[in-house]
Amino acid sequence: MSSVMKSMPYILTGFRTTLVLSIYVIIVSIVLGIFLGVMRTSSVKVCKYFAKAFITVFRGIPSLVILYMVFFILPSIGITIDTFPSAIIGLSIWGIANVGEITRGAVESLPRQQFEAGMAIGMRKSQVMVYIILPQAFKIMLPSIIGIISNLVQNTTLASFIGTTEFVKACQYTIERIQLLENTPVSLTVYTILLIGYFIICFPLSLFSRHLQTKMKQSA
Amino acid sequence: MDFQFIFSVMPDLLRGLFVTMEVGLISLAIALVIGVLGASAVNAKIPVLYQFITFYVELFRNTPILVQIYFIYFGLPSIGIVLSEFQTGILEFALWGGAFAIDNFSAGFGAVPKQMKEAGSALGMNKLQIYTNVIIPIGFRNAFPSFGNTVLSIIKCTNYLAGVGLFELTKTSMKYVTRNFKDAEMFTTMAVLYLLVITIMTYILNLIEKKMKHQTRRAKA
Repeated sequence: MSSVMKSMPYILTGFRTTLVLSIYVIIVSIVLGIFLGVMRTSSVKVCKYFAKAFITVFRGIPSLVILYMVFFILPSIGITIDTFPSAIIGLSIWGIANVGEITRGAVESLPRQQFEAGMAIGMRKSQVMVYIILPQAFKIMLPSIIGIISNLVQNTTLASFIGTTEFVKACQYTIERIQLLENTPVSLTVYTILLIGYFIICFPLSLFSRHLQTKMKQSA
Repeated sequence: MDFQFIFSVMPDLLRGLFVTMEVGLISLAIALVIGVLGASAVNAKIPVLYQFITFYVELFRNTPILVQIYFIYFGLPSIGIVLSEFQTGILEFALWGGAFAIDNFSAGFGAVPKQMKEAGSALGMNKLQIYTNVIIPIGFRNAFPSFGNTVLSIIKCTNYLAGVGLFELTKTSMKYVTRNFKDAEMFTTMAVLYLLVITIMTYILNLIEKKMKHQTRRAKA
């Protein structure tokens, strides 16, 4: 236990990397995901079918496969990027597809009259979307978005597969080092620390999401 | 695109896909049992069991699958529990899927209208009979769409087991990416195979859902 405590600063740098990675992925996923969801509901055929294909494909294949695709295919077409940015791209693609699907659901659940009322008072389509539809849709999709945020944080563990030294990888290195130097097995302790670390981030999110859901049900 | 190569490794990939489906379907069956039993206990609010199940569900929902797998595969041997990669997969996804299934089913059981339970007791059923004849059949139908999502998640997430070296579809394909540098071929094949499996599973789930809805309608008429 004491040897694990001594390695704590190293483990915490890994934890920091996980947090930074999560924040990037969350921002990119939500911003582009809402954009994709709006494209999915638009009447322009090209936009609609592109968004539909994107959502179907990237929700259908596992996030690990998407991550590997980004990491292996980008260099083979001449773009060399580091593991950290490719982790951001790979995880974001999964996030964008899921946020897009949630946005579509929320926008389509709003009554048609909302669009028509907006058009009737002379707004352009984009104005109706920005000022009338999205604010209402956002309220509906907030609980699911928070669920996705929790999923995205959990998915950052996959970055360890392509060699980003985030929380999980840092812990694995720590286990190996202590095993080599002191020959004491500490894997149970370190993996418990990992479980607790992720639980601390994700549990408040799930509580918040559930709170919003019950509030929504009451107001409905 | 080197189709010759894809055909030559196809048997190996299909073997990988078989492992993926094997882990997925076995753990799915266990998760279904855990889900129905656990949700019944949550619904009946059995004192100690209720708190324990809540803790279990929250623990599995709020920690990454990969860490859970590592905990089982690398952590548990130090207290004397040694599991193979395959057994780790079954245990992990049975428990993980079970946690999500409990969530799905307890929401579904909770959504059974009060009048139906009252109708049951008016017919002279006791609590257990109301449970098995009213709440479970109707609640199961309510919960089925969200349980379907859990099923698809289990199938997709089995590739986390690549982390402990189980040769399922992803790991098998990655072997050829890193050994033969056939990345475009392997990634396309992998994506197609996953999409195929997910599409077929979605179709089957929709079919079951539709059939159950039909039965409900007939029972109402």
